[in-house]
Amino acid sequence: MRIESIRARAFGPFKNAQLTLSPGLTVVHGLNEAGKSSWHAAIYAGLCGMRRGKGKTGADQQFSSRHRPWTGEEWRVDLVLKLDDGRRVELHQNLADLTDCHASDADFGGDISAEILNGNTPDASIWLGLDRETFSAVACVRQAEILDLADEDVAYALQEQLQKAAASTARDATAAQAIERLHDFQRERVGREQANSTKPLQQAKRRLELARTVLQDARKAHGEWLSLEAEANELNADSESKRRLHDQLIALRARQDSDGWNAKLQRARTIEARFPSGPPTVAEQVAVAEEASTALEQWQQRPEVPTLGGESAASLRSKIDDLPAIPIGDLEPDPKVVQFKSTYDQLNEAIKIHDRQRPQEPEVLSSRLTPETIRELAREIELGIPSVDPKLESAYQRAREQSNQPTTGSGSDGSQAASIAALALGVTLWWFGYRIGATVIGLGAFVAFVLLALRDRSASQTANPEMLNAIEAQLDSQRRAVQDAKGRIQAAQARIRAEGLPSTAAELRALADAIVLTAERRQQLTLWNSRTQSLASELQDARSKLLGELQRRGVAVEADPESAFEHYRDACRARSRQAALAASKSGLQHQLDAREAAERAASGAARRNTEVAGRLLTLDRQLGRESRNADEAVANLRAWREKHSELLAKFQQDSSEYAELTAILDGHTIQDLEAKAEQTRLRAQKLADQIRGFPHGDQAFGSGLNAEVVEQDANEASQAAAAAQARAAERSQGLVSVAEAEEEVERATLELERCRRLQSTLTETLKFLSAAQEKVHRDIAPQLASALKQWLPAVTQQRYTDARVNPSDLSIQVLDADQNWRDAWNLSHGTLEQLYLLLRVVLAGRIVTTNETCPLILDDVLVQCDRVRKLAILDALKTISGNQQVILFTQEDEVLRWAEALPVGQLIRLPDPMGAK
Amino acid sequence: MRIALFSDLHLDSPFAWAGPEAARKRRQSLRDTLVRIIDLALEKQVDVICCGGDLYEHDRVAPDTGAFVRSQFARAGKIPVFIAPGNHDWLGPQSLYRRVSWTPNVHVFAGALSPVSLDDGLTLWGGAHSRPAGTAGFLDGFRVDRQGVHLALFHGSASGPFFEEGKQPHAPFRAEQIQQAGLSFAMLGHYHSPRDEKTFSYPGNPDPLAFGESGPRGVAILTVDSDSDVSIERHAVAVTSVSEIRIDVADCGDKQELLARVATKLAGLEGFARLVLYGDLDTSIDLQPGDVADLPNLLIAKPVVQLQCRPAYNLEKLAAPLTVTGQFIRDVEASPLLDDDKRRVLITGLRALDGRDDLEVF
Repeated sequence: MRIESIRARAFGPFKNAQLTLSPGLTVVHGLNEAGKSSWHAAIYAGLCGMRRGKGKTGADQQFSSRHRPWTGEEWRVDLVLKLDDGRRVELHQNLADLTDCHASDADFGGDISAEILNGNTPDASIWLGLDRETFSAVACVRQAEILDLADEDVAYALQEQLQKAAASTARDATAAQAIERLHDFQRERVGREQANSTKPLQQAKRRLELARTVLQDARKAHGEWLSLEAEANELNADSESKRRLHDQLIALRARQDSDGWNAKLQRARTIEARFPSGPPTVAEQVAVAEEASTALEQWQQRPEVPTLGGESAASLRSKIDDLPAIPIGDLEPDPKVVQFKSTYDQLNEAIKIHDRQRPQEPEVLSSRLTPETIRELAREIELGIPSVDPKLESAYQRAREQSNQPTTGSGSDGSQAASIAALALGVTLWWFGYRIGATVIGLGAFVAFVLLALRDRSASQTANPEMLNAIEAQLDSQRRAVQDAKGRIQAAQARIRAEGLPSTAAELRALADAIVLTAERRQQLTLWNSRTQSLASELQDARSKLLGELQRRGVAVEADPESAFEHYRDACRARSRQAALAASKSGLQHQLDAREAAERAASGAARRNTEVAGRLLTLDRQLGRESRNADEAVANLRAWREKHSELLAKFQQDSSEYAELTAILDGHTIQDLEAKAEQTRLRAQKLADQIRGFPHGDQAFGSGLNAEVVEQDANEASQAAAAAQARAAERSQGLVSVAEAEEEVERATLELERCRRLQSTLTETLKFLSAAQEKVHRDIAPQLASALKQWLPAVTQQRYTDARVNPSDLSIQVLDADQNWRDAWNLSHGTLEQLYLLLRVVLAGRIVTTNETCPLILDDVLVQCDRVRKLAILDALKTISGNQQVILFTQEDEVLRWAEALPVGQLIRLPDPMGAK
Repeated sequence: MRIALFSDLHLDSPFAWAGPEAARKRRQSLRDTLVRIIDLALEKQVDVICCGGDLYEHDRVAPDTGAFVRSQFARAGKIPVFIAPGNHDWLGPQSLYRRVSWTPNVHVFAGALSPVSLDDGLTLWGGAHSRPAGTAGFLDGFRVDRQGVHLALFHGSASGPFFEEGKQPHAPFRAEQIQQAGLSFAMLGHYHSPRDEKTFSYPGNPDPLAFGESGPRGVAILTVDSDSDVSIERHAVAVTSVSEIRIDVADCGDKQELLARVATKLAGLEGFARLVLYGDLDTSIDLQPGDVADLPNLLIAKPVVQLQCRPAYNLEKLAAPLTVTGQFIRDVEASPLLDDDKRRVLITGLRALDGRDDLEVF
């Protein structure tokens, strides 16, 4: 597609102004305010037109305010273009009246608007596969976009512009920004489905859960209330049923009452009709017959008069009177008294025995010495005076004789020494009083010694000095013992004499025994006296107790307890006998009572029989007969009564009937009875009307039912119903509306669905948008890199020879002369401008989806470049214009000078707004 | 014989489409409508009032509903009121019909069709649902057993060509069964759309329950002559209206113009309303439901707003360029998503690419 001409019939400052454009490169030069931007806009409007619709978008309104002619109503632009297929098209865009916009074949004149209608107006960018918004974004490169590259973050600005162009030429945001925006929106307006989230999705979930819980509770409570209502209703029905049954019973009773009164009335009327003159008259004979019947009946049933034998009541009464009274006092000796008496007797006996056991009076003996001392003196004087052993003496003599001869050793020296020692021991013991032991030891030792000495003599005729010394010592000992014994005897005899004691040992011992016996007797006598006093005291105590007990029983206390006790025992015996007599009174009294009763019965029967007999005789006399006795009178009366029985029966029947009438009337009149019957009939009728009939038929109903019990049941059922009704009413209080709870569940469900739908929509959108971005970038990146590689060395004067584009974010790297890849943000601003223009050219070719080529309309895009780069780009654009139309608006003189070298028609000079040439 | 027939009042019904306050007002409107039904019966001096069921909703019945209904039927005085319980007010032990001590003029049918004499030679046969679902057809195997003119009153579903979409076929019957049973005419409930046929009539729900209800719903006053001919005159008794207003916003240039157009439609509108905005909407307009719902109006409650309008993206043209936008549109269009999901995804994505914040699509 190439634009051939543009005519601004009325556009901005232009009126019927026209530009004719080269199919390749056209440079439109003009100073500031020369109308470059207006021509730029006019070309866009002439090519793409404006959307037709009621109301204006913000962009439309902005475009209109900037480019509507300053004067006049007309706002119109015409454009002629040539498509690559050879067709020439005239576009007439009446921007003031969008209904007057159309496209026509410039050669054949046919209206071809329909091919390119967009928003009801022709839009030639459709032939490029674009729309007017996309064309503006892709084919129109404005100074402002280049100026944006002057921002601090130039590299990002370049990248963003590329992304924006890649996203959609009509979009305001890059795909990355859109994705970020979607993420933000999802985060805030949906949120995660986590328990602690406060975002809408989780809130909606919580709301639904709460609403469901409330609904569940509401339905449960509603169901409970309905159940209670139903229960109350059932109980109420039961109550009403029982109440109705009660009413029916009452009505039944009323009807029965009415029937009863009516029956009475009828009966009374009947009886009264039979006795118009009043009650039946009682005939005299009838009265007699009636009395006779009674008397005969009594006679028939008269009791037998018993015949009484045995003792009469008077006799029994006399016997009772003669009996003594029941005595006062013990009937037999009291055990306590008997016990005291026994104790008293035992003590008397004990005293007698004690007296017989009195010990002898002891003799009077006196001595200052004790019996033991006296006996010791007796032993002293009985001991004889010992003598020295003659054998020892002779042995001593022989020893002395031999001692003068030499002696030989003897094996028995040791034994002899031992015998001597033993002998010495025996002497010593004897001396100290152990006479028997000492004697035995001494004699043994002595005999041993002598025997040894004799044996030794036989063995050797010579005695040694030791043996001599031993014998001599023994001999001395015996001699001292003799002396001692003599001394002791003499001392004892002297003391006996001094004490005036008997002189013989036997007398001394008798004296000692007599002294001991006297002491023992004295002690026994003392003990006996003490026991005597004790028994006397106990006897006195027993006597007092015995007499005291007897005195309490009325016995005169005498000096002798024995006689007092005898009196007491005799009195007990007498009372016992009296009591036995008195006890027989009770039995006699019973006999008397029975006898008196029997005598009264017999007397009464006799009296009644006499009376009945008298009455029979009287009646018999009244009938004109004189019977001799009762039996005869009975026979007469029975015969007479038989004869008058029919009359009697009739009278009795009449009397009975009339008595019935009297009972029915009960003091009232027949009229009263009629009124009562009518009254009960009316009541029964009224109650019957109220109950509307009886169940189960009149006959069966009511039997076995008690109105009071039924009424009680009805009252209880009524109370139960009222209580159930109260429970139901209480349950209904604060009942949550099920409908409202359901509505809230529905609303919460819708809200959750909305959140989920939004979440789903956002998720899907993000998925598709990310995928689209990735795919487009992946497609575009190599194309961009290839295009850059084509033009980069030329426009950068070989400073950069190659380029590559990251498909993920369209970031750019270029290869410098040292073969190092450098990120775009490290490049100079001028180089970035060059890159951007090249990339936009590439994008314009890339985005077009038809076979047409897209014109490029550039508005002062080189204003920031230095001269060298500018010329390089211009050369590049010139080359590019060989393939696609390039329209370059510029105010720069350098560009003008460069363009002046172009073929004729490729440079358009706009008039100087100040009028200068 | 003049009979006032109504049905499907659905007292205590929920209104999920309304907010809490509006829903309560709708329920009150249902009660007000029953008052007007009785007023109409008294004014027209009908001989009988018949209710074809679903007078109330058992599962939601409020504690005072029984007393309210009783008082209204009592107000009818000597005019007999015959009720044929439906599937929503089915006759059970807990039913309102069992619990309320009705005035003598009220007769509630139970079980299969049973007769009541309305006049010499005129018999009314009525039946009741005794469960919320599964009630067999009342006319299956039924045949009148006496001479004279016979009418029927029950809650049932006319099948075949008369079947109403969206309704459960409770107690179904065929139209020809009516005459085959010896009945002259059947007074029915269940279908909410009013319908008068030769042998039966559905009076429809007398007070609106949902949006989009149309037709002369209300009370049908039937006049039955001695030849068993039935003529019907209908009377609207709804105390409030429920309107659905559809507004084309396709050519609105901006939001102000759009709201002005909606305001014009709202002017003079009373009761309850649902506003359905449709048409291709200029893509530059950021329209939220609240923008419309908050417009001044005379309605009882805020209108329910449905935005069915579509942003006027030219997807065909946007999809053409080999841009991210074009790729996105092409991918979404080619995806197996449902059409509505595609629409939401496309609009959301394009709005995001436009740098807009109104990313939720209604």
